[in-house]
Amino acid sequence: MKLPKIRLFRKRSIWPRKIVQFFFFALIGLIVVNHALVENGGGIPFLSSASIHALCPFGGVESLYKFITVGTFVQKVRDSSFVLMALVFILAILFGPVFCGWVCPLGTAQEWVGRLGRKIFKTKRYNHFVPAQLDKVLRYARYGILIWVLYVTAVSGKLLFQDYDPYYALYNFWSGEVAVTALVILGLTLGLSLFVERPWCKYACPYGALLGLTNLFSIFKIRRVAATCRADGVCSILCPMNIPVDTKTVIRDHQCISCMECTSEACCPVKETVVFSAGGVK
Amino acid sequence: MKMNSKLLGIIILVVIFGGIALSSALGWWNTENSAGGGNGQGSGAGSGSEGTGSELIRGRTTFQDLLDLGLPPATIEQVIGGAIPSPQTRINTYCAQNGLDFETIKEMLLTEVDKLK
Repeated sequence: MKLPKIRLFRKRSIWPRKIVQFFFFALIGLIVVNHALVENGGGIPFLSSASIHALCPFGGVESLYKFITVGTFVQKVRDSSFVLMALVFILAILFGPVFCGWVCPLGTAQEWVGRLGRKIFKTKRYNHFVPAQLDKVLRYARYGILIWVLYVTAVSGKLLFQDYDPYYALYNFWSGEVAVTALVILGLTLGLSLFVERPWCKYACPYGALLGLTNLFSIFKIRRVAATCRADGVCSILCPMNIPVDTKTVIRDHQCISCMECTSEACCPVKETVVFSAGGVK
Repeated sequence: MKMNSKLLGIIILVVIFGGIALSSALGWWNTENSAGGGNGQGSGAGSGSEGTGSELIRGRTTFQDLLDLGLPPATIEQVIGGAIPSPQTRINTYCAQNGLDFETIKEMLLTEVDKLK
């Protein structure tokens, strides 16, 4: 497939997103370290020492079945996971999967590695290695993984996904408690990030699969004003999730992560043409 | 209504941390389970995860903690299939070093603890 020529008129970035991403990446890292320090009799005052499971909103999703049927949580999941699950869901109803694009530390780590990949392969090649047909099929794999995770968790009452979870491995690789499979998947995810942006999010993340569904009904969506659009394809090429923004007027794609990198605030050279809005735009 | 990235960033932070603060004020924010378990009588469903006692043994529990609970050394050794190392050794560390599944050992030890009651 011949890629259109990219002309970035001025380099812009959604810098608030970068700050929020770094903030959550660092915060979770500090809490994980503090958790280890507290277990050894130390600890940083005024900082939570919660376990990483207690701060994972997906733990709430995994626990839903057991909570509804038995009234208790899956092993290691806490009330806080349920609270976070509810808050992330509220955000998703309003803005789509902003958790994926703005908060999730694993997504952030993939983006950081991806920057290196973009430098190596340049913007035109990077993130366009997977053949379109294969890519289209692979993107539905995460729904299969979501169903599998919910099923095995419901049956066992344990967080069996932990043994495959690259997010858990990312923050606990040093602890000796992470399964080899999770470490391998983390390594693969970060390695593939050199070629494909957010490979875990695109093809495997069960939580991303669930949150991605909110793109169908979220209040705010990415919208393109066809009348002023130059159809230069910049938005589509720079979209981390490879969504063909320039061919749609409203983005309801289940893979959109509401990162806003396609908007006129970022890569689109025409003002007020690709916007993140509620309701139609003129 | 259009949304810019600065406002969205602020809203995300406000919803997450405001939600945590609110849930904390309502008593819903709990990142730890109370030692010794308890199913949250009177505080509504959801406090406590695995039922009574499951949190007696956790990642930081040492063999000394088990002995303090009154579990005989012979019983512990029977469960772990070997001699008790230094009492200050964590059970999960011992399991990791000896190729044992911590969750399985934990369940077996909890069963023994329950028998003491």
